[in-house]
Amino acid sequence: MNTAHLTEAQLQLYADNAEAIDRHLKEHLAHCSNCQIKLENYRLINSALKAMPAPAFDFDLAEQVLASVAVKKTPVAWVPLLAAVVGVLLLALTTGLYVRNIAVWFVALPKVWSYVLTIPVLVFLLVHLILSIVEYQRKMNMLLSK
Amino acid sequence: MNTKTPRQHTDQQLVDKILGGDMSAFKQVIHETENLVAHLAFKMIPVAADRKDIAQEVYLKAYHSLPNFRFQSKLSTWIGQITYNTCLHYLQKKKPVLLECFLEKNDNDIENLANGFTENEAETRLLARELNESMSRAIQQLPALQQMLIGLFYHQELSLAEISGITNLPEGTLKSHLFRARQQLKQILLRMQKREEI
Repeated sequence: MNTAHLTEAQLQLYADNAEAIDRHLKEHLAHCSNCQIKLENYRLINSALKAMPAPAFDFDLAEQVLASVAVKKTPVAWVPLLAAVVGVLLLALTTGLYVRNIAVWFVALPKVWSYVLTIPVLVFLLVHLILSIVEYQRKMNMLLSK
Repeated sequence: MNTKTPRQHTDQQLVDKILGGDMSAFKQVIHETENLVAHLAFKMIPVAADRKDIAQEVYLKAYHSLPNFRFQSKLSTWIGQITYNTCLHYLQKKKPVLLECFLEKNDNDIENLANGFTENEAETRLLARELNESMSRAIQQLPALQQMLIGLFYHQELSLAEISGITNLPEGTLKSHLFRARQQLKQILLRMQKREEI
């Protein structure tokens, strides 16, 4: 008979699956009360762990997620979108037609007025650029964290 | 513990339906995987209100990333992976101390808990049959990663390969953690029982 006791690892393996260990270890186990007690303890632990209550959310997760998805999937507002496109096209067309006149008019403006008109536009563009970079970084972080 | 019922649809069918706009299929996926998500969130996120946000974020990420899902793992494993990474990201941003505890404290704890325990020391007492109450207390004494592992293995009935897919930790490492977790649980429970008897 094999006189060496089973290791803790072998006992755990046996408690998980009796077929997983060698015959000579089973023979030892049949005669060794020390190993039998240890094995029984692991079996009791396995049963107790399986019987432990699993954590669960106390709200309807599916409903909340589906509501969020629905909000994000709001249909495109075609009328305002069309109006915006037409507006942009008209603006582009007007600018194209009168670009020379506008340039002449702008050059003829007093310096203060040219600053008043130019600075807000530049500030707006700069803020927009910074916000775009921040948003881009946030999205990249989200993607990379997946 | 989960009572697993046979699924009506395969992962491929469910994904196809969701991509086709069938939200009931997505609802089914949520119902099938929310226990796993809850388990990871409860073990990793200490603030209850944040768990709710994280759970929603996980499914929104999954929904929007679904076109990129390549069926290299089970859908549930993929969602588990998103959950684990989202929780790690949360800890990284908001609770760096807890992240450190979660990822690094384990080995030290293992050594501390294993102190005074030799592998073949005589174990003459059997544990009580009604372990449930003391088991909850004993589990609390394990490192967070091992608590999570125990839950995934026993409650979610995931294999070590699946847990490895979720956590990106090597199977050998997980096996070693599981072994030590059970060994420590046994020691803790025996000590608790002995103390109660005195």
